[in-house]
Amino acid sequence: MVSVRKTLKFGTLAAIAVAVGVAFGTSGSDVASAAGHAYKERNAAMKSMGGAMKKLGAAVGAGNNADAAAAAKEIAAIADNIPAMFKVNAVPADSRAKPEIWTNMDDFNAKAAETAAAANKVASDAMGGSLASDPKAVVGSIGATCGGCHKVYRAEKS
Amino acid sequence: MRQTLRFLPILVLPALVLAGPVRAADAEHGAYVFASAGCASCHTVEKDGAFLAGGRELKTDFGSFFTPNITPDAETGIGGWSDEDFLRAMREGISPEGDHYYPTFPYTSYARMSDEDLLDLKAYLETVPAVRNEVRDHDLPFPFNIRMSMFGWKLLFFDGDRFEPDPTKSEAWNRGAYLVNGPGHCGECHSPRNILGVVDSERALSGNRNGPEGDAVPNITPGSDGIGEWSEDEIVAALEIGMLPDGDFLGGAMTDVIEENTGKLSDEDRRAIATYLTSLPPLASND
Repeated sequence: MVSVRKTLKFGTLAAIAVAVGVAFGTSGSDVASAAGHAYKERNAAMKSMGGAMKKLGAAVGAGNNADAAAAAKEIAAIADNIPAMFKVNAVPADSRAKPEIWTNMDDFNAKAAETAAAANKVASDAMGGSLASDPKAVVGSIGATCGGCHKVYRAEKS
Repeated sequence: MRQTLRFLPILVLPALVLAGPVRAADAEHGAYVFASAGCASCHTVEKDGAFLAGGRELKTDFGSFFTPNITPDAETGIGGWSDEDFLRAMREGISPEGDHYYPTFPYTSYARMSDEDLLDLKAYLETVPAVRNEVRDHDLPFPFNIRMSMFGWKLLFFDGDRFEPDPTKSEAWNRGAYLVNGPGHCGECHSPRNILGVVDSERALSGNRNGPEGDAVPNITPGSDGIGEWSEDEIVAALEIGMLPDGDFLGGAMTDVIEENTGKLSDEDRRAIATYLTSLPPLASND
């Protein structure tokens, strides 16, 4: 019969060993995968935003207010989510995110809010039937906020 | 005094008539030339700088340059410059005192510009608010701090040629070529340079891996390394609102170019730039 004390001692040591193993053995890849996941998520979101901008341009060109509003709302939703997506300070090799994002987080988030506001305005104009007819003017009204953020917080392609 | 001044035009008129027809400089057109030449972004400190009062730091491989004050302030700006002073500065890179400018100031491109454009630009500059701002000296390590050396550099590398239209090409093409190579000075960023900072004209506009602030600048010639996949409409959209074909928006240094320069051009001029760019031979990017 194994003594309770020995079991406890062994069990505790084993638990500690496992915990340490988890902490050191997998923590690297856990952190790495959290960073990689954050990057993938925000990268995909930005690409979707680009796609929605194109859809918006096409909708305005076709005089389709409903589609324009839908595209604008999609853009606003992504922009609203930007602060959350960039919470993790993770910059894998491919990322163009500049460190200034995390040293100037208030400004960065404010810029995301500007994009959301511009997109929401386009959506409400479209729904109210007062949207401008020039696709470039409409897309540009949101695009200016995109450029404003990319100017400061996104590195050039290398 | 006022009585005398009232008669001044009458006294001056015969002189003008004898001199022959002179095109008066047009400051309103000068504002347009100003946009096409993109002066605002270099000569104004970002965010809070006084308009055109200079002092903006341009970091390069040769050290840091601080842009001059080009407001009409007589002591710290360009107030009082004659037409000849201005043309010499813009086209030959020489100051009214006879000093050579560093080609960080892109007179290497502005040299292509016409007399009319330059004098209209001067007329416009005379209308902006004069700001007293004594700009500090450039911060250049030896030997780049020897301004006199620019004499040799220019002798070897500066052609100062005016733009010559190509009669075999369309008006739009020629306008685009003028804008890109002259006031637009696109090649100053978009062309590769050698170790002496000379633009490699054979590979013009094919990008620069080591551009301003050390950032890579894209290839804007046709072809797979450049903008070969882009339609003319897409080039125009990029120049007008900064939108790329995939819906992305330009950032970095191009934001200023879109906001202050190409975004303010006429649609016709943007189209002319696209016509010119799409006609260039496709060049591979440098590595």
